[in-house]
Amino acid sequence: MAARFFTTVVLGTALAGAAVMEARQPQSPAPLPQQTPQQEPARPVFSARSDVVRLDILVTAGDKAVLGLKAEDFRILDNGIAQQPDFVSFDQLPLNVIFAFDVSGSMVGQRLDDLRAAGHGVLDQLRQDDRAALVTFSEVVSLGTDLTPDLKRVGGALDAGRALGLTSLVDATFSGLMLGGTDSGRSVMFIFSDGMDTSSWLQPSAVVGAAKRANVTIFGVTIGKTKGTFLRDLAQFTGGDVVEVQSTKDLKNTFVRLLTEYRQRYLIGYTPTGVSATGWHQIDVTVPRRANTAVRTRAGYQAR
Amino acid sequence: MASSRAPLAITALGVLLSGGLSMGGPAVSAQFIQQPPRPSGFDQIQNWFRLSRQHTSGTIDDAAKQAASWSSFTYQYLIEDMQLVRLLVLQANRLGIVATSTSSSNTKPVSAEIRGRRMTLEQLGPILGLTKEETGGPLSAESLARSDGQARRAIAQVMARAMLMQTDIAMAGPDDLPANAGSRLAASAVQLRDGRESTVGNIAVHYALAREAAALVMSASEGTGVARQWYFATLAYLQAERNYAALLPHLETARITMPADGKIWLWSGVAYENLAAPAVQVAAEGTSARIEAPSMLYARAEGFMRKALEIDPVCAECWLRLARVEQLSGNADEAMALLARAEPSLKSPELKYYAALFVGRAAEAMNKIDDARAGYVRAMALFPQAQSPRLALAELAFRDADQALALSSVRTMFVTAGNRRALDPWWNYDVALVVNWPDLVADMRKTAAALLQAR
Repeated sequence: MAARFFTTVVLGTALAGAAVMEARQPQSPAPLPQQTPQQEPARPVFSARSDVVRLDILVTAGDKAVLGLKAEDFRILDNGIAQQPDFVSFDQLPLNVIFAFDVSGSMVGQRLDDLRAAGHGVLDQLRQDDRAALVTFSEVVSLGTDLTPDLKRVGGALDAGRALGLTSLVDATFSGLMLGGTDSGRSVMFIFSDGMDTSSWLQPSAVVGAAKRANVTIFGVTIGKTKGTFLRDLAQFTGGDVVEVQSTKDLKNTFVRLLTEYRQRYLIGYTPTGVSATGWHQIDVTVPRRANTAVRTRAGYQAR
Repeated sequence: MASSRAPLAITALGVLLSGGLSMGGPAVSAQFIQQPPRPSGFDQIQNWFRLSRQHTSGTIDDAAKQAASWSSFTYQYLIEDMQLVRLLVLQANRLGIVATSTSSSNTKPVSAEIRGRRMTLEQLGPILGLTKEETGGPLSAESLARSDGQARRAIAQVMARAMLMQTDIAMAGPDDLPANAGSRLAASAVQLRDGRESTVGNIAVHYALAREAAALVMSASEGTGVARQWYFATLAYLQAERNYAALLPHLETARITMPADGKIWLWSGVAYENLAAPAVQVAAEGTSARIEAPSMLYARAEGFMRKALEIDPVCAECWLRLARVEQLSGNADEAMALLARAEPSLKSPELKYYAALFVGRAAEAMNKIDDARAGYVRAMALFPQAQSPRLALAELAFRDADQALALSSVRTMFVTAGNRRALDPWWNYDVALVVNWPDLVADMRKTAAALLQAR
């Protein structure tokens, strides 16, 4: 049975160009049903499935991004088996930026203002085709806006709301993953929290498992030392990073820097060959012809 | 007065989620606090009883403020002197019982001594501020032998006042007390609020002193009910505040004092269950809060809960809580069996909701995904606005590669909960047993007032 990478189905079809876009159109999900206790909603079926694995890859030499690389420059191993890239894209695809912002009680005052400024800083860097979504969380996980190119609306949602309550970081992360993992373009999530999860129902391991299957790169930003392993696991498995800032005043520069770094990544897709169609696949990417380079990408993917 | 702090704020360990959570921590360096010399007489304890007579229960008046300004050394001396008082009453009681049973009079001088400090029965009345009229004559072994006698009632009334004043001080908000009230408590607690650590005065000493008084309230027949209510009210309050630094020693004494009360054992189990929770464990990481590993805490929780069930085998909430502990300890099979036992008997929607959620989680652990889904759907039916079951169903759908259903569930969750603070009982699980603490405190005060007015 072919591996089902449902997130790559949606994103992969967009990457493969017009033909895939055409194939993609009829497969858009069914309208959102109200999920009531008495009925299970209809399950849409995707008839077009792509096995393309997508990798967002950052190549650096020292602290500078290495640009201008081609497909043949990359060596990709999937569970140790060399793979052939189907395509390489650099800064061509629109971005889906998902903000998952902690608005728990400890964020009152200047902290919240700084967080808002950081969000606006990222929005100011987005381009015409980019989209953004906002999820905020205390114990309540709230949708500020769904993915939209209307960045003003996202900005308005950023400015609304207030800080109050507990912290459902894990639940919010999952919610953001769902928003970001379903659309075309490249999805990146910026998670900010100044504390630890205190009220989520979902287990961190389950959400990390979801992140392994979603095509969303996750950057976590915390104040002070990051506690627990949740954000680090997310970053590791999605090819993102965790940044610890000393003050919320550093948030705007940090977010903008992370976005810039993300745009400097190569998007490479390949169809796995010679590997199992199920289970966890470790990915190793190198740039053999360039010495002294470091490569960052997701640790692997979970094949169904 | 009394706490208006939202119970959600704090994590037991001193982690303030909505309130705060205090965990026993290292003592503040004693070099900053001058240890006063131990008074040779009993003026200090006599002063304490005097202030408690002046104090109006339920307030932070001048009497309470004065007592609150004492250092922890002073409180330690008071606790020791209270132990002396208890021993003295016990000695007198024993001698009185012997005298009564032999139809004779006790002729032995009644006194008690602890570590060279001696108190006599003649001294006790004036120390407590009691007159002979109040005690029905001079305090004697015979008069103290009768737990329903006037002397014991009078002592219980004095102790109840002291117990209530100390409780008021312990429950006071930071703005109600003198500025130096906390800083003069040498023992500190670690308060963790949203990941940030701070050191606060450990109010456990107030409860320690109040417990000494409560013991003498309880020993009088008219005071037993008051003391019992006091324990439950203060335990509930401390759990709601997630103040584990004070809660754990309080629970320990409660278990010794009321060993046949199943609720005390259940509450003990819940306290340890909460301490083991990931939220608390992660919060305490890298701080100076001392906390045991989850496996040990869950083992203790299980022990307490099973004891509660020995005492009250039909306690459905005990089965529910034990199921959760078993599931968290990796025993999903056992958890499912316990939940099957608990569910039919659970009354409140919140408890049924918890049971349904826990069935979902246990079934997930057993890879019985359809059963898990069924549990979460049941939970959703009970609280349609709650986010937890919808997120759980979304996660199951995503795990099953049904991305559209997962996204649909999440979007529906956003719509049904909206941006309102729709209640998800899961958020309150750790303090669900004690949400009625204000009622418990109010009822306790009423019962205490009745004792204080009894003649």
